[in-house]
Amino acid sequence: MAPNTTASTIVDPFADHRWSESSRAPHIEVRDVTVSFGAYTAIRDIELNIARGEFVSLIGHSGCGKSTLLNLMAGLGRPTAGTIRIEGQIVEGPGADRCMVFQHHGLLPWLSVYDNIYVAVDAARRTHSAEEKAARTQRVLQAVRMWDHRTKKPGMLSGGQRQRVAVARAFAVAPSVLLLDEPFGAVDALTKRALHRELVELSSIVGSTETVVMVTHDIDEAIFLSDRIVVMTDGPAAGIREIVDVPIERPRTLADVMHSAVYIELRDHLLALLGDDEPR
Amino acid sequence: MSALSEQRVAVGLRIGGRHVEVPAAKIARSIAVNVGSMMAAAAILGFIWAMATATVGDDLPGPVVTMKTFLSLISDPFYDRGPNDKGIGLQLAASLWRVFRGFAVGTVVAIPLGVLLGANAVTRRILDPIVQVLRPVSPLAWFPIGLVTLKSAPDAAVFVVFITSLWPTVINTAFGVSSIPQSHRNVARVFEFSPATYVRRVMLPHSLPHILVGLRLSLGIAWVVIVAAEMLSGGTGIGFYVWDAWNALDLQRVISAILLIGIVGLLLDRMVSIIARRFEYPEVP
Repeated sequence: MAPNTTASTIVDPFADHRWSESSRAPHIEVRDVTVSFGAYTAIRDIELNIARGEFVSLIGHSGCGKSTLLNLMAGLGRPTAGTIRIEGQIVEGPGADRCMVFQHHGLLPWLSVYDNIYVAVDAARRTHSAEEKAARTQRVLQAVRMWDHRTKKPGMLSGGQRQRVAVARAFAVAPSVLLLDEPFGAVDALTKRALHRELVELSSIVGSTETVVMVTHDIDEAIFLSDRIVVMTDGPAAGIREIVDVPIERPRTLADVMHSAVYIELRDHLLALLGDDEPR
Repeated sequence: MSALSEQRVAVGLRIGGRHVEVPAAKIARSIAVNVGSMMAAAAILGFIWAMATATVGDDLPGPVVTMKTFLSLISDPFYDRGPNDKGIGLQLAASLWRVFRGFAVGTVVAIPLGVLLGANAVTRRILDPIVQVLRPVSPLAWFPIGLVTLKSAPDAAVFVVFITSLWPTVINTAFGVSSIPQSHRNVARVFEFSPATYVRRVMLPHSLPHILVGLRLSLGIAWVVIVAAEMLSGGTGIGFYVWDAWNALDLQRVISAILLIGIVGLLLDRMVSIIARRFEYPEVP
């Protein structure tokens, strides 16, 4: 991926993928997906194609079923109707091609930071040698600046540090699809900026992650990171209200994005779409 | 104490897995507080006891005479003058050995049983009624069953310890296993943990604190039950000792034995809780 890394410019790993291969079969294909829990319908008739190399955000109010949709892609749930395909294969359960960063980090509290990553690497790459797995664990921990904290347990870390480890763990198993479920929802605004930067850096260092789907309710985060933003309607029976393109050149820096006219326009548009006064 | 604090003496301790330097003055103060409160507790107990002997229980020996007997008993605890005259240390050791055997076998049975109960709805449906029916049975009711199968009264006492120390471990293990948060299960699924990895890295570490609570309760019950069981089985053991002293109408020995039983029970409990602390981990908010 993009080779030039200087201190001032952030290399955007998603730069070369965008749209370039989208004319072919979508990497993730959501077709007529409905999820019901008994009489309650969470999401209804969702249609969404995500191209290989795209970064797509799902945005909407709490309870609009965006996490439900993400869980379906992860294989943690099955649609009541419709299908989800990844690389043309119907998703029937979790797979090594996908990985997820959980909303509440999902780290195992009894394992050290190092062991949390190593266990995941070990499970995903059973055939690799112990040295390779250790090297990979070290690489991702260094990338998120958590190597010095490797012996600590998650309970001794700050919220931002925990989320860093959770992101590192997902990258450590080198999935081609990365699913992020409000990964930075629990961290403060300043830490969040740093984590966004690290997410971008990490994908250039560790590579192999092609497509990213992120659930968020942070408009700025969605604009900065995404190629497209899927705005969902409120539940029950949530659907897609609009899919918004983010036509900002990559690589992006936060300053560029914040100062572009497109950003302000997009932000207003998204705010209007998500605003409470907006009719359904 | 003031001299110590001026010298800034510090002692390295491990607290919650972290190395902490604690000033010696602080330690000295904490020891003084502990010793002081223990002496206060002993004084209150002694006072109630003395009041009881002075008023309602004038057949009971008072604290002072009993303490004399107590001290003479523990000054020579391990003498052995034949089957009917052994030191109180030997009696306690015999009881502890029985508790240990019954408890060990009980643990080996209880933990897998608890896992089966907690992990799976089908096994829970089958096993739960069995546990619920057997659990409230009074320990001594099992004694004849042990006697008839093992053909030995001391072994029957071990059997009673075994069967009554099962339940807290079974129930707490089942709770630990069934209370694994969905988020941890999801992690195991998304990262495709093998069943062995799941058991080793998720199920056991999450359940271990609960299992240890169960073991602590079980060991406490085992120690309570052995005294009663040995009164029935006879021969050796602290329970037999109490019964033997009662038959000799030596209440000073009875009360001394009661005190020792209590102290040993306390030490057993502390032992398990010290072990349990090793497996603690900081909670994640």
